[in-house]
Amino acid sequence: MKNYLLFICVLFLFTACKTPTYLSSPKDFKDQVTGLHFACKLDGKTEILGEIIEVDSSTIKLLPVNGDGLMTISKDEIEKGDVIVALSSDDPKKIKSWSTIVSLLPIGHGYFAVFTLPITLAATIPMSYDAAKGVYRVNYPDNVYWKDLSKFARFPQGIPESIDPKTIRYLD
Amino acid sequence: MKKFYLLLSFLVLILLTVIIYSCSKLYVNHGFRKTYTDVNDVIHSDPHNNPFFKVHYKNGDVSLLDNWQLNDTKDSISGRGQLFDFNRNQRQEGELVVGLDDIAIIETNDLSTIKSKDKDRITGLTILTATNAAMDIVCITNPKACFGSCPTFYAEGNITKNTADAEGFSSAISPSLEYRDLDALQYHTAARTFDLTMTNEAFETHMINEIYLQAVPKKDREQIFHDKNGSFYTCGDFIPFNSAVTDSKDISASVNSLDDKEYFSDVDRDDLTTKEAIVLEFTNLVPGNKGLVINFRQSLLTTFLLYSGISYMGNEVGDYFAKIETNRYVKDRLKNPFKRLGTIKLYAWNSARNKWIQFGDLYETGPIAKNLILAPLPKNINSTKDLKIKIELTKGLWRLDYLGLTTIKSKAEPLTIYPNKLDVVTGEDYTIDEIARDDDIYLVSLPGNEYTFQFELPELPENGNYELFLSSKGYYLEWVRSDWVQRKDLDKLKKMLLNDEQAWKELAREFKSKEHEMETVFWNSKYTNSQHEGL
Repeated sequence: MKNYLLFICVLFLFTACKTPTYLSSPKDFKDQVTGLHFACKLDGKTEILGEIIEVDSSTIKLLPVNGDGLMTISKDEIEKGDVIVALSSDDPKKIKSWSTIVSLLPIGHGYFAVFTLPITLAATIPMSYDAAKGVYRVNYPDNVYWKDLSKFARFPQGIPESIDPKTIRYLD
Repeated sequence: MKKFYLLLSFLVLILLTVIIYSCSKLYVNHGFRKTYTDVNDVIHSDPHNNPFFKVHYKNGDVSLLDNWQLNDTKDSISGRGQLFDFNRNQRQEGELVVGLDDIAIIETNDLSTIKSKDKDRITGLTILTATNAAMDIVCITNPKACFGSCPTFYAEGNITKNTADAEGFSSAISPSLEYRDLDALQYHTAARTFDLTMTNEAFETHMINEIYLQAVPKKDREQIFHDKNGSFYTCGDFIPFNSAVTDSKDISASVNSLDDKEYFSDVDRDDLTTKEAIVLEFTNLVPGNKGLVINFRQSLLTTFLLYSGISYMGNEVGDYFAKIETNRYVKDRLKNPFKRLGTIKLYAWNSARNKWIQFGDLYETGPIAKNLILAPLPKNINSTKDLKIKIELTKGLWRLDYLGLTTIKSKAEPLTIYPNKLDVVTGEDYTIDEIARDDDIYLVSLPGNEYTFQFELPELPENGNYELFLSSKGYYLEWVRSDWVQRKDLDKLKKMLLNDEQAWKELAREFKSKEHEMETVFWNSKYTNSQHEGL
C-alpha cells in the first residue's frame, strides 16, 4: 500500500508543476507585445521576476509579476539573471494530461509494473515537467551584453517622455 | 517481492531527484531578436525572412504587422495588423499605415529559434502509450501472467509453471458470496508430507476462512474423481471415445488426453449465449457403472464480464458492493450474467425413447486452473453397448482439455487433513489457527503474499497412495483499477444485470473485437505445443 501511496504522490507532482501564465507559447510568440521577463537575484538573495519595461546604460526597470509597482534596479546590483523568452510547448496541458494517463497504464501490468512503472515515470515525469516549465532563456551576462538587453523591453527605445511611468500597468 | 518494491521505491526516489533538477532551461542566443532604427536596414536585411515584425512607436505604442510594405511615397509603411497602446491594450485592427517619422524601433524575431518541442514529446508519448497498451492487452488476456486470479494453489511449491493446480472460490467476489470450493489438485503421492503453496498473484484481497485436504487412498491403476456435489469415486481406467465431433468437425486430438491441448471456440458475434454441441460416440462398452470425466476451465469471457460490470459501477463500486451485502435482490441480480451464459449441460442418447436425456450439468468459475470432474451416467444407460453423449455449452465460454468415460468401482471416503504447519514466505505472520475451521477468523492475503501449508498424511498400505483434493472456503475483493472508474456507466450496468438484449449485444461485440487477440496471446503465452481447433 505504501508503494501505491508513493505512486499517487508522484502523480500529484504532475499537478504541482504549473505552467507560468506570463509566458507565450512558441506558436503565440509572434503576437507578444509586452516586454520579455527578467529573473535575477539581488545581492544573491532577493529573487525578482518582472517584465522588462526599459533598459538604459546603468539601470533596468521591471514591472514585477507579483503586482508591485515599477522598480528600478541598478546594473551593479545584478550579478546574473535570465531573460525568459517563451515556453517550449504549444500545449503543455495536453502533454501533461497525456503523460498522466500513460503513467496510470502500468497499474494494469500486475507484477510487471515493478519494471514498467518506473520506466514509464522516468519518461513521462521529465516530459511533463519539461512541457510545463521548460522555457527558452537568454542568460545574462554569459549570452547577452547589458547593452543588448534593451531590445527585450516593452519600450526598447526607452519610456517616452509623454508617458508617466506610474501609469504603466502589468498585463496579466 | 519486497526487493521489487524496494527497487521501485529507490527508482522513484531517483526520479524525484532528477525532477528537481530537470525543469529544463533551454538557453538560446539573443540574436533571434533584431532591432532596427531605420526601415531601410530592415529591407536590406532580407525582409522576406521577416514577414512578422513589430513596430515600436515613439509615443510608446506598438504595432504587429503582417505582409508589410514600403509605400510609394517612401514616407510610410503599411500592412495588416494590430495597434496597441503603451499598456498594450488593443486600439485598432486591420489595415495600418505607419509614418516613418513616428517609428522609434522596428523589431524582428527569428521564430525558428523558438520552436515547440511538442512533436518530440508526442512521438515519445505515442511510443510509450503503444508499449503500455500492448502490455495491458497481454495482462488482460493472460491474467495469470500479470495478476493471477483468486487464491492460486501449487502442489509441492511448484509455482514456476504456467498454470496453477487449483484456484479457490473464484465466484466469491464479495463476503456474502463466500462458499466452499472443491478442486482436484490432479496430484497423487505416497509421501508422508505434502506442501501446498498459496499465492496472491492478483490485485485482490483474499480472505481465506478454511483450508484442508481431502485425501483419498487408492491403489495403483485406480483413479479418484469427485463429482459436482463433492462425492468421491474410485474408478478404473479411462474409456476413450470413438469420435468427438462438433459442427461436423473432428476435435478428437484436442480432447483425447489430459495434456495442454484444449478445444475452444469463438463466441457468437451478436449473442454471447449462443450454444454449440459436442457429440461423443463410444462403442463396445462393457456393462457397469460409468461416468463422464471432463477436464475444463473457462475462457476469459467471465473475467471480461466481471471487469466490465465493476468498471460500469465507476466510483460507486463501494456502494454497489455494500448493496450486494445488504440487499438480496441486488445480490441475485449480480448472478444474472453468469446464469445467462449457462452451464455445461450433459445429455445421453436414449435410443428407446429416441431422444437426448439430460443427466447432469457442470459449472466452475475461473480461467486458470482446470477442473477435473466426474459426472456419473444414469443407471439405465450403463448397460448400453454403444453410447452417444452430447455436451452442450456456450460458444467461447469454455476450454475443454479432456472428455472420456471411466468405470466407477465404488464410492470413496476421503480423509480430511488440516495443515499442521504454515510457512509465511511473504505476508502477515499468520498461523494455521486462522484457517483451521470455518469461523469468523480469516487469513488475509494481499497482492504478492505467499504462504506454504504443510500437511502430514497418514501411513498407507504398500503400493497405496493418496489422490489429493483441496477444499478452500473464503471470498476475495477485487481492487478497482483507476482506469475502470473512468468507464462508469450505471445505465449499462443496469441493462447488463437485467439481461437487456441490446446491452448484451453490445457486450458481445466488444468482447468479439478483443477475443481473437486475447485468446491468441493467451494461447501463445501459455503453451507451445497446442492448437486452436475452434478457429
